[in-house]
Amino acid sequence: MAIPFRDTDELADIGAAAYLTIIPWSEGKGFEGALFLVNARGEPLEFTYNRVETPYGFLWRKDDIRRHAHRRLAASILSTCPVTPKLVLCLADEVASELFCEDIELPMPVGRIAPGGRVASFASDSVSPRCEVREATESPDPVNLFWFPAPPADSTSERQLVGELARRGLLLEPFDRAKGGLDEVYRDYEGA
Amino acid sequence: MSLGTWWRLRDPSAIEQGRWLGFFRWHLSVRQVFAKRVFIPTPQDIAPAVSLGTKPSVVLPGATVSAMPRCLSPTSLTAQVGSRTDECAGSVAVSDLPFDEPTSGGRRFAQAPPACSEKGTLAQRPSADAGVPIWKRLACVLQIPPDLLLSPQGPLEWPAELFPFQEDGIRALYERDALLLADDMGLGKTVQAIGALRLLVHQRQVESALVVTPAGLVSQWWRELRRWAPELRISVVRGRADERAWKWRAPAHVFVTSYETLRSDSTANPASPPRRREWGVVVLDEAQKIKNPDTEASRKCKQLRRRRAWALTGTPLENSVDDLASILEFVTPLREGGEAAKAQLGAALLERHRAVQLRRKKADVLPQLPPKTVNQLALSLGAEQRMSYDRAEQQGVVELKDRGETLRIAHVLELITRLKQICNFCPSSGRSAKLEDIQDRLATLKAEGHRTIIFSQFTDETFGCRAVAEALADYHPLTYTGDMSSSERDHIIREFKENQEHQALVLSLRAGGQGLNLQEASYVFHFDRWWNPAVERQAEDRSHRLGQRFPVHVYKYVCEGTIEERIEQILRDKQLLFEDLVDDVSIDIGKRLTHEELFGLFNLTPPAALRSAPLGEKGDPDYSAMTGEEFERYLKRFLESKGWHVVTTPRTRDGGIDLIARRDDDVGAEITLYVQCKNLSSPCGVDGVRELNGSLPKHGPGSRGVVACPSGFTSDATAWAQDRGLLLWDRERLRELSD
Repeated sequence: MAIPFRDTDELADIGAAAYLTIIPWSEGKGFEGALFLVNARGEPLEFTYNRVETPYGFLWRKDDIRRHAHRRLAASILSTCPVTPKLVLCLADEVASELFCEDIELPMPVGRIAPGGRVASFASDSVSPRCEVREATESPDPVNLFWFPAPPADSTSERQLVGELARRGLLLEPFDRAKGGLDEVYRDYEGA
Repeated sequence: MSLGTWWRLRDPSAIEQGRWLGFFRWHLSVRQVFAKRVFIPTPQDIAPAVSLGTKPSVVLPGATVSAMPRCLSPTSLTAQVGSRTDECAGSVAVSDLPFDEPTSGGRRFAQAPPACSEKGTLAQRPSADAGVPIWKRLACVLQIPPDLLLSPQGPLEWPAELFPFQEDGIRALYERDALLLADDMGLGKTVQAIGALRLLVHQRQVESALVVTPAGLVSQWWRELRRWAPELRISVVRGRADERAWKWRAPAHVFVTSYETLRSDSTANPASPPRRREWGVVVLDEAQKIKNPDTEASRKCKQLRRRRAWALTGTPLENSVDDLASILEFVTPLREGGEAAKAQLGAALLERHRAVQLRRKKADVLPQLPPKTVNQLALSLGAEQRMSYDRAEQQGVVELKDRGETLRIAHVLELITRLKQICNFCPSSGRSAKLEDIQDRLATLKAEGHRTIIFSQFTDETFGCRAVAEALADYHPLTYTGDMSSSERDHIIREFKENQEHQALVLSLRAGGQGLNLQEASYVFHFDRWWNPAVERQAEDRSHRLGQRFPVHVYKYVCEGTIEERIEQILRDKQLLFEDLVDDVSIDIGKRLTHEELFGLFNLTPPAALRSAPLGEKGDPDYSAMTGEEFERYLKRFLESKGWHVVTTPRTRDGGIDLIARRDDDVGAEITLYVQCKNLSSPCGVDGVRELNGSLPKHGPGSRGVVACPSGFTSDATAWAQDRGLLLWDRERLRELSD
C-alpha cells in the first residue's frame, strides 16, 4: 500500500473562497461592499467592489432600504467577479440570512460566519422553509457557520477548502483585509 | 483625477422599488456607479508605472446602467500585460501577483513574485500619497498580514519554528526602515533578516535586496537563504569581474556579496552596478566592518541608495563610540538625490542609537540555551619559556628606553606582539605551557566525546594556529585561517561538522571569529588574547549559539608575570565600556585607552610629544634612523601586528617586491599585498614606483602593489601609481594604518 501523502501544491487547485463584506457607508448614505477571493493559503486572488448610495429614507423602513441595497450591491459585485469561487463566506453581523436564502441564489454553498460566543440570527426551519444549517468549528478560533443551502459535503473540494481555511485561521481574517481594501479605494473620495 | 473623484460621475439611473402613498407612488432607488477594472502587474511591470486604473469612467446622463462593481484580478497576467489600459466595466481586480518562478525546493513552498531585473525601477511603497495608483496600494493592502505569514499555520512554510523573540525581530525589521539589530551572537540575526526579507518580498514591498557580508560568510548566507526563503531568487555576486557584472544584472530578489566585492564594484560612477538602482533593503551583516568611517568599504556602503537600511552586528561597539556613529550613519534610508547622513557624537547620537537599536541578550530571551562558563587559566611558564620571555622583555624594554623621545607607539606594540608570541611558544625549545594544558584537557574531552575549537591571533608555524595544530596531531585537528581560499574554508567547516574524527578546529581569530556556526564544539580555547573583548566574545559565540546542546566552556590563557596578565586588566576595562554603551546606552568616553596606559605596561612614561594624547596621534617611529633592512623588518612586524601573514622575499630574487602580505578579513575578502619598502631621505620618484609595477605578478581583484616610503612621493610618481592602481604609503598613510 502506498504511503499516503499530500502535495501542498494541491492546495492551489482546491479553488477559491470568496469573502463578501458589506458595510454601511458613512451615516446612512449607502453601502459599500467587496468580494475578496483568496486561495486555500489565504493568498489574494480577486477583489471586486462597489458602492451604492441610498436615498434619504423617511418613507422607507431602514430594513427595507438595507435589504434592497444589499441585494443590488451583491448582485452587481457577483455579476462582475470573473472567477467562480467554490464557496462564499460572509459575516452574520453584516449580511442577513434573507440575502442568500431568498433574494439571491448562488450555485455554491454560502456560509455566514459568526464568531463563537456572539449572538447571531439565522434562518432556522421553524421560521423559514429556506433555512440555514448551523455548523460549529473549533480550530483555531471557535466560530459558528450558517450554511445555505447546505454545508459542503465531506470529501468534496469545498469541504477541504473550508478545512484548510479554518486550520490556517483564515475564516475571519480576510474580512479585515477586504475592509482595508475598501478603505483604501474609497479613502480618496472621503477625503475630498 | 483621483480614484474617488470619478465616483461623483455616478449613474443617474435608479433601480426601482415602489410604494404607493395616497395617489403618489414613491420609488426606492439606490444609485450605483460604473466600475472599472484595474490590473495589478508584477513588480517588473510596475516599473513603467503607468497608472492603469485611474481613468474615470464617464457615464452619460440618462444612460441605463446595470450594477457594475469593480474587480481587481490577477487572472491572466500575460494577457493583462499586453493591454496596459485594461479597463472593463464594473470591476477592479486586486492581484495575486502571479507566482511563476519555481526555485529551489520545487513548488513545495509558496512562490515569490517574479524577481525584479536590474532594468526595472522599483515600485512605490503603498501609502496614502495621491500619486500612488490604487492598484499598487491594493496589491499591498490585500496581502496576508505578517503575523499570519509568520505563523506555522500561515501560507509560508518555515523550516523550523521561530522563537518568539525572533518573530519580534522579524516584525521590527519588517516595520522599520532603519534598524540596528544588535542581538547577542548566536540568536539568529541572519534568520531574522531573511525572515523579514521574505515577508517584504511576499508583501510586494520590496523587489530587490542587497546583503553585504564578510567574504567568509557569503556561502553561509546563501545556504540560509535557500533554507529559510527557498522561493526567493538569489544572486551571489563574486568571482571574476565579467562574472560579477553578469550577476549584478541577473534577475533576483536578493543579491549577496562581500564587502570587498562591493568595494571593487561600487565606483565613483553612480551607474556602477551596486549604485545603479535603489535597493528595497540593504543589509550589512557584521556591520562593525564599517566602524571606521574613513575606509572605502564604509563609504561605499553608505553611498548605496536604499529604502531600508538594516545593520546586523552583535558588537556595534568594538573600540569607541565612533564605531557606533559610523554604523548609525548607514542605518538611515538614502533616497535618490539624498545626502548620506552624518552622525554627530553626543546626545543626538544617543537618541538615534536608542531609536534604531534592537538588542536582546541571550540570558533574557533564551534561558533554555545551555550556559556559557568563562574560565581564565593562569599558567606559569616553564623554565625555558620563562627564560626566553624574561630575556626578550628585558631587552625590549632597554631598547624602548634607549629610544628616548623618539619612542613611538609602534615600538611598544611591536614588543607586545613579540612577547605574546613567546607566551605561546618558547622560540628556542618550542615548549608551550598553554599547549601542555590543552593537551591534558583534550585527552579527557576526547574520552567524553566533546569537541573543541581553539582560537589564536597568529597563524604561522612557529607561534600560531599551525604550530598548535601540529602539536595536537593526535586529535586530527583542522586548521582554518584567512590565507585559505573561501572554498577551502567551506570545506574545512563542512569536514569538521560532518567528521567526528576531528576533535579540534584551530582557527585564526580574525578569519574564524565571526559568522560561523560551530555548535558541534562545546569547548573553546583562546590560545592568546586579543585587544578587544568584543572580538573574543564574538569568537566564543561561534559555539554558544542556537542549536548548542551542551554547556559551553571557554578557557582563556593568561601567563603569569607576563604582558598577558597586564593586558588582561585593559581588557577588563574595555569590557566595561562595551557594556555601558551598548547595553545601557550611556557614554563615557573617559575610558578610552591612553598612551599612559599603553606605555605603563612596561613601566615607561610616554615621550613628551605623546603624553596625554589619545592613542594613535603622532605615533611615528623614527624612519630616518632606520636602514632599508630595518624599515623592511619594521614594516613586516607592523603588518603582522595588524593581522597580516607576511613573507619576506629572498633578497637576491625579490624582483622589487620585499614583502608579500596576505589576509582575508577587515573587509572580508582575501587580500594580497606586494610591498616594496623604500626608506629614502627624499620623496620617491616614478622610477622607484615603476620598479615594483614591473615585477608584480598578474594580480586578481584582491591583489595590490604597495610602495611604502615614509619620505613621500613625487607628484609624478603619485599620478603614475594612481593610473596603475598601486597603493602608496607615505608617513601620513602609515600613521593612519597604525591607528
